Amino acid sequence: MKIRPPKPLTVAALVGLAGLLGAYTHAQAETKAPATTTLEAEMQDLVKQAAYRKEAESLMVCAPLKDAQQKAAAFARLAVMKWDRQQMGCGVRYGFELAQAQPENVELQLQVLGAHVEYFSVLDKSYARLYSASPVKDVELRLRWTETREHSAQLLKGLAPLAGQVAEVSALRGINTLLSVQREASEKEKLTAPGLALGDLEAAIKAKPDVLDGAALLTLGSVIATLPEFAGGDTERAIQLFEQGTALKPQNLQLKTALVGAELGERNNQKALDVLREAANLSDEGQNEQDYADSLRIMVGQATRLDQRDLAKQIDVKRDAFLAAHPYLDKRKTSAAAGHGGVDPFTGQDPEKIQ
Amino acid sequence: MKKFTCLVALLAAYGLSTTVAAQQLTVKAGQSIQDSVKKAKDGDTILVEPGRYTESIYIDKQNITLKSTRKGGAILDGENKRNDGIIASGHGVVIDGFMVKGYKGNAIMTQGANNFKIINNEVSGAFYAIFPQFGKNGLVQGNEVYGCEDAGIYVGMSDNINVLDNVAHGNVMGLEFENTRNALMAGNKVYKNTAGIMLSLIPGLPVKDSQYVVIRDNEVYDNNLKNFAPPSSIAASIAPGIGILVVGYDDATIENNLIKDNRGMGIFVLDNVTFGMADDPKVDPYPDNTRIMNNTFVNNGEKPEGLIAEFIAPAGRVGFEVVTTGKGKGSCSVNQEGVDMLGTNRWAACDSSMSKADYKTAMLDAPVPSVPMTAEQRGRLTYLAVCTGCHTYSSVLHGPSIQSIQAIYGKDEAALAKFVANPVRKRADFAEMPPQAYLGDETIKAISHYILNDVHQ
Repeated sequence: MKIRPPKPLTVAALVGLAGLLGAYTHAQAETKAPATTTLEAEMQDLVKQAAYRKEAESLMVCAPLKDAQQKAAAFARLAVMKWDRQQMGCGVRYGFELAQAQPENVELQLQVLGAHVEYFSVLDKSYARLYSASPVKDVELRLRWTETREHSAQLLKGLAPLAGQVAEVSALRGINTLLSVQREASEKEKLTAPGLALGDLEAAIKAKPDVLDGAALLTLGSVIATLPEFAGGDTERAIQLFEQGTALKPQNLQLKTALVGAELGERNNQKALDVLREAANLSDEGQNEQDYADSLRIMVGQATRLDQRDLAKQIDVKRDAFLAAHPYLDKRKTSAAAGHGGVDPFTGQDPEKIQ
Repeated sequence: MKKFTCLVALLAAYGLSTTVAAQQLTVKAGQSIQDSVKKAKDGDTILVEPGRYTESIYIDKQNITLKSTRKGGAILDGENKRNDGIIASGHGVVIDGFMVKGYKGNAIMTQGANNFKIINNEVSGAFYAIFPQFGKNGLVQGNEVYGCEDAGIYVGMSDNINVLDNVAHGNVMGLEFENTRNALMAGNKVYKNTAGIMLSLIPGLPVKDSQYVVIRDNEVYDNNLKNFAPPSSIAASIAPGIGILVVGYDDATIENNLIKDNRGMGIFVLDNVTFGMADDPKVDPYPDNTRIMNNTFVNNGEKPEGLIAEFIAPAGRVGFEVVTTGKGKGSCSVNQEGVDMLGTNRWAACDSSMSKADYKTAMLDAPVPSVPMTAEQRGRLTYLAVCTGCHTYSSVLHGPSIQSIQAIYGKDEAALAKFVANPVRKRADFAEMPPQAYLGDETIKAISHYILNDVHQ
């Protein structure tokens, strides 16, 4: 059986894979304030929660589409809109409905699963990192995450028989295992996910090194660079994987920035700088606009870390120009309001509009 | 004569000339210590007689000695409603022999003060018991600290500090160096905390490195206390059962310590990425040149619980005295029989010439000279010495990030100044911000200007 690969998978969220291992901090930092214990307060809380949920669900409504053709078109158009979680969410949902209706269409299943995995990365960036978001947004994100996780599990269940035969299936299963537990999962799930995913990723890369347009190499390298030594972490091997990836996909900006990060981790600063300079010269052609803008942001940080102020400025200017040309993108300008989409946690206003 | 003139000039430069005319003031039970501080001149000594004093004390004069006439006799009581016990911003302060209890924030804190001595105090129940922040050339010795929601003794962004012969128990962290360079921690007894000793590199702070510290001849045992830090605090992320925790710190030498009965592990060396710290492009997140020399390890790592158990599960067993994530460079250990180490494949064997067993002091030979400041410089210094105790640029230390604050206030310096002077609680799961009115209007104005216009990562 010949399987065409799904659309290129970029998996920008891998930059945040460290969060899987940073469970010590994040798990407890995000702990909610102790719940009120009185029955009255609990009842009030339940009523509030129901209201929040109702409002959140209203934010997740997608226009009903009648036929498969409409859904396919909407999936293709919306599921790449990483700058808009509502639009992308609808695209992913249409894709899932389409895939459920066509279980024999393996190509479609893979494409839709890939979109789900990408959606995890978008949602992950929407979560509050510093403050709890508004209650409605909190509920909305949880609902979106849970739905995406349930749907990706269903898709994987259908594809499971192909796992040993089709590299894309193994790769997507491995990536899904990692990304789907970044939120709304127990700490045990987060800590055990890397171990579970490694086998799938290794098998996929062995069968087809450039599977998913290099995303499997990117994921495996990122995991290995992040894990502790005793759990399989090996930065030198991660560098080899990233180098393999950049050789196979020289235009892949995320593989290049990952390679820079790993070289920095080994204090190979000159090598890191060489790769960063190459990356700075890559165009946005063929890249998801949001991923491209986000990668440039990471590169500014890497240049700063290397104490290359001119290069940092150069990349920053390039990013500003790109954002100006694509005004719909999420600028992620205020990392303090990380995940608030630029909206201030206290006031609910865009920080740039506060007088 | 010329030589004498030079000597006077030198003394003046080091802020010592005032000691020539130093006087002694006495505070009796029922009187106010702060009133005496107001009356005091640079270089004076204030003797406090036994009694209970319910106030907060702010010292902004130079070379003030504040001393209880009997150790523990003068009791400063915050009555669980005041935030600060003693805050000193004047250089050369000595705080000696007090019992300090019932404060919600900082029991004893220096803010940008150099040449300080905090000695022989007993402190309980604050967020930080003893907290020198952004100072140079200081001594913390002979104190007992317990019941703190963060670190008992917390040295933040400071240089040339000795922490000697203290006792820390019942805290979330017993002793901590954070973004501190050239420091010595020796002869301390650290037990029954969540974690015994922590060496940390916090991103988003103005000081971007943590390095050159010696941890020697301490007793670090039974640090298995349940974490009771506020959920929003970074301290809440500390798992119980760690004797010495090194996060991102460079050039830490750990030698001749007794490390015993810490259930998770004796020493845990990890990088900021694994710990889950926020990214700061100017911070190198990996701990380099850690040196674990001869230490006495007894019964550590035998009962790891919760996240620590999950974390080391891939190793397939327990009982490790030393655990590292293996991301550091240039680290080494002395091979000791019966000491199990995990994650040290890339570590070398320490050479005996690396020993710091005889390292006596990290303090300077002479006091740091005082330098006059402009209002702008005072704003910057106060930001560094006060605000960064709780706020980093882009992540939560205790309070919201500076970026959040900049986003909220924009260019409205007056509104920020108003809040700083008299804050109100905005988030139930965050620590309450203490009022900073004691800093004075001019300083608060300068801080507000600095935060909204000049603070960048």
